[in-house]
Amino acid sequence: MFPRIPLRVVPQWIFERWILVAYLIINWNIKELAEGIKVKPDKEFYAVVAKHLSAYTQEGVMPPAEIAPAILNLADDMMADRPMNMRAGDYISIQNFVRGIK
Amino acid sequence: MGFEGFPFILGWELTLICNLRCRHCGSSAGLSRDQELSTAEAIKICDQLPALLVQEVNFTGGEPLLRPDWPVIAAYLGQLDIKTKFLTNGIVLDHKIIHQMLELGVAGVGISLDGLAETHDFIRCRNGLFSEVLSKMKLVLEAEIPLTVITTANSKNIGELPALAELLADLGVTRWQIQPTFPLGRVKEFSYLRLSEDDYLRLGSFAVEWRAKSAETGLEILPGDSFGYFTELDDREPPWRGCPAGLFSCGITSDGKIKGCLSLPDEIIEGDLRKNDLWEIWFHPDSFAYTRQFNLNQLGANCESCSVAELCKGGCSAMSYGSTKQFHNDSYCFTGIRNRCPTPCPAGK
Repeated sequence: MFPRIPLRVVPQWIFERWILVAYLIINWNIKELAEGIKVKPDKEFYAVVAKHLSAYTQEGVMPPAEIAPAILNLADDMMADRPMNMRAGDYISIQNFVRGIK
Repeated sequence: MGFEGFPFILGWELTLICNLRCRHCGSSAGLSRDQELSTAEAIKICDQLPALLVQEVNFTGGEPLLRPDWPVIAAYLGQLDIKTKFLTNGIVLDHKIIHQMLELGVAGVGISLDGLAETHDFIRCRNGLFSEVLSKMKLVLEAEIPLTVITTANSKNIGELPALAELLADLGVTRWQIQPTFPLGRVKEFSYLRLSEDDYLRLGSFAVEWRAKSAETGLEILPGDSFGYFTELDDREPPWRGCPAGLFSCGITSDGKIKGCLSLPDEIIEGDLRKNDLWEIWFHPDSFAYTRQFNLNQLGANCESCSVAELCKGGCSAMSYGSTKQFHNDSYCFTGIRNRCPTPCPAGK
């Protein structure tokens, strides 16, 4: 089982002001998004990541072009024994790939 | 590179049905929209939210608690680890609903209060509602569900805000959002309710004065929609940095349409969840162009010569569009009013 993957998150103070966005406003700055959200993708997402990460790190098989940067970034973390972090763009590309094969 | 943001907080108009016909209602709520989402359709939408990293859903209406399946939808979102909060006029809140909310782990309730007794009942067109709503606030407070009171400032209640602040502090309310009336929906029939520029500055002064007292009163004042920007009247931290519609949030209407925010009129629609899923709509390159593709050339006459327009991007999209039929042209703006009328405004104090 993969651990939850940390992605960018919304700082707590945004949620403390939740009422502001119920209709309209969230008065924050996009650049202030912090690390820490725990993404819980569905089984298909994990299956794709596991399959291509494993194939790349164990057999040297390159992932499909659409997700190669994302998988290689994860592999870098994995092989350097760092916690695996996923950039928003990588997450989106994998989700788009998974959506394409559903 | 495509857009890489997510709708962390989602507004969801569960139904447009409402048991009130408030004079200031920007949604002209009352009757149902044609073909509101079924329970099954709503659940299907919920299933799309985790992939988009939605963290919270704020249910609005109409009156969201009039939709009989609200507990089913809230429970389903709870199973997906998504928080739910409700904005209500308070009428149908009772012990049973409060108990349901507690069981479902509802994370917050917002209740509207638009003035002292006579004014609130006038705005909401129902005699006796003020005292009824106060009793419902007490229910929420007793249940220890986080409560935010929301007041839409208008020409009739602007002078009552200090008394309202005292009342809310005495009740034990700790969070109070105040915001100006929007020129959208039903309020167009009651345009005298809109704040004058002087009254708008007065609203800013009131918020600053009372926010300074929050440690003493326990009542935190939150500037809400279209409340700013810059000057000493808007000291929020972090400061306003433009409309977030389509950047971090969006809204779902009760018939499955997607808006950048639910305050925008129905003509500003980004997609239809009955035709495309939320992922497709959210990441479509043409979606939410008014915020995602903003550039300074789009500023309207109210903002084009302003020195801070690059920061605020022309203010609140809904207020701007409602007032001028243009984005990035918000006339309700402390800086803009000061620029147009540089002499100190007596009513601003």
